[in-house]
Amino acid sequence: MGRMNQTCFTKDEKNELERKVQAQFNSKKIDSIITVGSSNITYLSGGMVFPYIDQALVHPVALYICFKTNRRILACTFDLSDIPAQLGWEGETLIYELTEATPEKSLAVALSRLISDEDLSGNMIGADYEAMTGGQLDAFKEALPGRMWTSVDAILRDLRLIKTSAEVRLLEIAGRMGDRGFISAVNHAEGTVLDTLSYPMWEYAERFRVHVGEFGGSGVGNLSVLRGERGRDLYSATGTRETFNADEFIRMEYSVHNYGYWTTGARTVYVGYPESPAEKAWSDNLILRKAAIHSLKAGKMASDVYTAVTAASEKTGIGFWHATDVGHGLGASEREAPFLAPYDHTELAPGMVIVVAVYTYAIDQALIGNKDVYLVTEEEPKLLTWYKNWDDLYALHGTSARHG
Amino acid sequence: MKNVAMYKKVKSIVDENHLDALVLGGTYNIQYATGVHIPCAHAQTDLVMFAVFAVGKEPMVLVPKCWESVARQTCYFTNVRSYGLDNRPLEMATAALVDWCQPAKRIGTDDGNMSVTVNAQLAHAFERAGVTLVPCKSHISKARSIKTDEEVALLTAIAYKTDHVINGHFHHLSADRPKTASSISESLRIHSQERDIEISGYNACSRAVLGESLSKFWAYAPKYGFADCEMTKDNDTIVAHVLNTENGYWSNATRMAISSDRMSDEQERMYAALNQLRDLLLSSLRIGRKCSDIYHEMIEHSKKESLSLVNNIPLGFCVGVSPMEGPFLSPGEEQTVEASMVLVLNPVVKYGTYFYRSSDTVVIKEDGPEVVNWYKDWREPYLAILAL
Repeated sequence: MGRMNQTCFTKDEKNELERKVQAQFNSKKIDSIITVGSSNITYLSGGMVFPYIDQALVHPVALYICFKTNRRILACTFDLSDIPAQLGWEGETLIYELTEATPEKSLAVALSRLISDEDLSGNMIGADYEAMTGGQLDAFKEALPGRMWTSVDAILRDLRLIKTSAEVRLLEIAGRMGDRGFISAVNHAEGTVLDTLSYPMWEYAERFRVHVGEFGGSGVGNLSVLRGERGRDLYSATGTRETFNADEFIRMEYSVHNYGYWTTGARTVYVGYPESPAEKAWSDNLILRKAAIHSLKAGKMASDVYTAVTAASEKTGIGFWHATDVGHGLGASEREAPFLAPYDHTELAPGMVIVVAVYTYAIDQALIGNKDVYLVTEEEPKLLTWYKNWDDLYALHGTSARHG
Repeated sequence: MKNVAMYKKVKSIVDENHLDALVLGGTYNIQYATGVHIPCAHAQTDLVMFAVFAVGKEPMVLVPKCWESVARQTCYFTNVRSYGLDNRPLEMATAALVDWCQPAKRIGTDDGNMSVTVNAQLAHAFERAGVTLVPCKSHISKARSIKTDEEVALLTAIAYKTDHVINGHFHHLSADRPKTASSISESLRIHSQERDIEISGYNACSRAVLGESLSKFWAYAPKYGFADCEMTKDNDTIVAHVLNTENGYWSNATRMAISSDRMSDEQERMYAALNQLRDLLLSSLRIGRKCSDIYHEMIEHSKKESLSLVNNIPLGFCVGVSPMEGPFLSPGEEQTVEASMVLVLNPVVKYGTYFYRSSDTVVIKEDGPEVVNWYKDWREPYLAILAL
């Protein structure tokens, strides 16, 4: 099978990830953990993806791992219970019912019955405090009295910072899915965007969403199309009646996952034939983006990339949007450490996968820019969103009938 | 202020608990109390938000700088503040929050909804400021469960529209033209947007489950929102599950179609059971009754009548600013049914290895529940035409 056709982990790749996790927790003397964050569950289980946990569309799911006994339990409600088998889970699956006053208590009580006699010697349980609600932790403490609890967020952060080669491949595939989805949206829009019947922005977004699915994607997260005054925002609701306008930039913000591994993207195109002010705005953006990419090197700090963009901005007089970082890590979540921001002094290292995004301004002050994903290496960063080169400003125009 | 009724409800929590301020950090709680709706906030949790209702001050929403504009789009209030990148988001947000809350000494929080890390940071910062924190999660949950008239109107409108969406797609079904689960899923989404539903990522889910996959609740893992290329066959049951959002409020609907102009004997029995369960549930939902009592009563009825009810999932849940929220019609739920609750009734039956369901959205009124999402009469599933 071709490398890019292997869209999820192989058994060997899961085992490799498992060994890496096990070694890290052993070295920190943490015997058992309970995690509830969707990305931690995906990461620690080697690719289990439950539907919409973060959005609370389903009841809480927990992953328990005892590193001493290698016991692994996914605890979920009945409606989710066949998912682990669908995705090749080889551990135990515990089904809990809402027998207690809250779903959190029901989960904690059910899990405690299964593990209360386990790991009595250590008495310490690690948990992902950054994802776990106070209500969930209280429920676990009540159900498992006498245990000591500790945060394992720092351990998980360090583990997840450096990707295995299989994780890199899954992220590369996600990036390709995002670009193929976007190109398809553009293909359907061309010839119709300036049609007198008009072409709604929601259809542009929907064309993206459905093509991600057609190209094998597992899900779409963020999705926002921005133009005109709304283009000054990072995100916005996409108006149900808004259409394209000639002679302006239009930007799509999106996130997409492939078996739980995410890409975060932005692509900006110009509607109509760009004249020199638009071309200049775009080439200015490229100058600052290249400054960021050039500084994305092992041994530098994440904050150095932000500093490099600031320095390039001061040197060239090209303004950029300071309201957010100029990039961040990707993995089992659409946004994770390291953050290319003044506050993050994480040392960049080979194996990190980072999305770079520098927003500059069009004449109407709309934010323009693309997001691209890079693998940090010992040398130059390797572009993972390679499917199409977007350095030239993409012009979207036409007046023909519907392409279909 | 765009939503006075909501402000009064939140303000009453402050008053009844003798608080100087109420701080909300749970994403849905913030959305509920302030109207601020940022879908990616659930997935980008390093970017912290807070809402503050302090005595003698205008309500305030604190967001990272990059979300300030989008927060203003939907916020009921004008006081939207933001923090920058000088330090980690949680530290920046906490410092700004503590500063804004001065001189409050007794502050309520939805601690049960915030992450342990955020709770710890707040506790530490407020302790240094001499503040006593008061857990208020149950108060905000209770407030969210009883809808205002405006919320009921919004939820009714979106529930009805979603039923229209599902019918809009079903009318394309023709038994002689097989369709894939993925094309049905996509058509459901398109029919939503054709009816002015906002396009949204994350949990704006449209999915069809059919054929052998009816033996799974969440088939086609992990492509839940896209489904798969499984093809309809003669007489197949198609279960459509559609979630839509409008003005920050959700519908959560499941309906069934048959890929034929008539039902098989098994489908007849299955659907009759669902009809009977719906009637039983509607007669059970009376103000003041404990949700767990209703659950147990339904289980008993189902056993007595051999209705094949799946008895280890809740029979219903509330809907609001989130697509599923408490109270639940479950064995452990201690809450009672109250007027102005909006529930999705979701009994599931199992015949053979297949799960079947058709969910109704109801508003609890003084004289009983009112079904608000029947674009068509659902005592019969949608029956496709045989040929075009």
